[in-house]
Amino acid sequence: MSCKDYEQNIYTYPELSAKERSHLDAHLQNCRSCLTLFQEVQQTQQLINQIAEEKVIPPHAARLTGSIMSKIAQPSKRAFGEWIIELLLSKRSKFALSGLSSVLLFVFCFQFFDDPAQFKASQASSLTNSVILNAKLFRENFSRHKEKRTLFADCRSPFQSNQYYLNCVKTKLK
Amino acid sequence: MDPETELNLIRKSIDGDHQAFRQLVESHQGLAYSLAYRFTREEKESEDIVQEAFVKLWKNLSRYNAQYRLKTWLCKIVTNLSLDYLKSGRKKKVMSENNFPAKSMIERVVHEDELESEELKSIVLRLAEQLTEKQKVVFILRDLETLSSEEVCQTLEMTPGNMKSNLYHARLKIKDGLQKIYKTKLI
Repeated sequence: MSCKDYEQNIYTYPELSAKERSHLDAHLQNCRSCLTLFQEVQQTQQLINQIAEEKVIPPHAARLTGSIMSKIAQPSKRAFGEWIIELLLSKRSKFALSGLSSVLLFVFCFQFFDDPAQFKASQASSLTNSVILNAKLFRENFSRHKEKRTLFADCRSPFQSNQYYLNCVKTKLK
Repeated sequence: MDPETELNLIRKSIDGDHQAFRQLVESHQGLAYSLAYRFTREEKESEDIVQEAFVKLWKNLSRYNAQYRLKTWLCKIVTNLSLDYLKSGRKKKVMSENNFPAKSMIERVVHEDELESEELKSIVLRLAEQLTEKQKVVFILRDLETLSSEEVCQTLEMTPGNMKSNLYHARLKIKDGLQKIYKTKLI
């Protein structure tokens, strides 16, 4: 083996097996340049050991422990949040929410197309008031439609044309 | 802390015992902080890394393999978080100005007995910064944190041959760097 082959072992002397060490020791006894390199490496390692001995200590150890422990306690809060999300995403709540939103959408459309002006006026008041007002308007509109339907009921006939229906309505209105 | 007590505390922690985990934190946070600081050399960032590491440890404690010491696992988490931090570019450039002696101070020829330990530490850490990632990690774990060769291999999931090769290159560069800085040969 040449000196170059021993170089890595000189740098990693503490990591060598007993067999590798005895090989290197034997070479160092006969090779002056390798012995010089070995001594240089050992001296550098001593300086590095000095640094290693100076342990780096956290400046605020108690505070650090406290913040770690508080971070660990947080997941329970998150679990509650996750539970809420899970509940909202469950099938039952999905059906309930979609049903509710369809009803609300139907009421809104019915109100809006029936009389947009009235609906807009109700928007100005508070949420509760607008809900009450809209419910009232809905009821009034519904009864008005019912009256109209009964008034023109006898005009409707599956055996007559549309023209007959229109003429009938015109006469009733007069 | 002896391995049996440690294992007992780990088991209690897995069952949700915060007090047991606090004991583990108290006995290992020094090592975790020291390791993070060797990489980042910033107090605030090191504390953040330590916090994140312990939170990760807590979350994954049920997957703990009793074959290895907790120290090895913790070192692995801290090392990965530190490397992520270094790669992320969050590392402040001002750090080199704050934590190292001025360049002129490093370059001047100094006599061996002038080697102040703080100055030496700064120079070695600065030289370690110039190493490749693997060399740096091996050097910090083995030479600065004085983990055993087996622990280093376990932490980095590295073969002993690979570890030795990285350590050789790291020590060679550090020695050459120190010799260049101090001009006068160490011998």
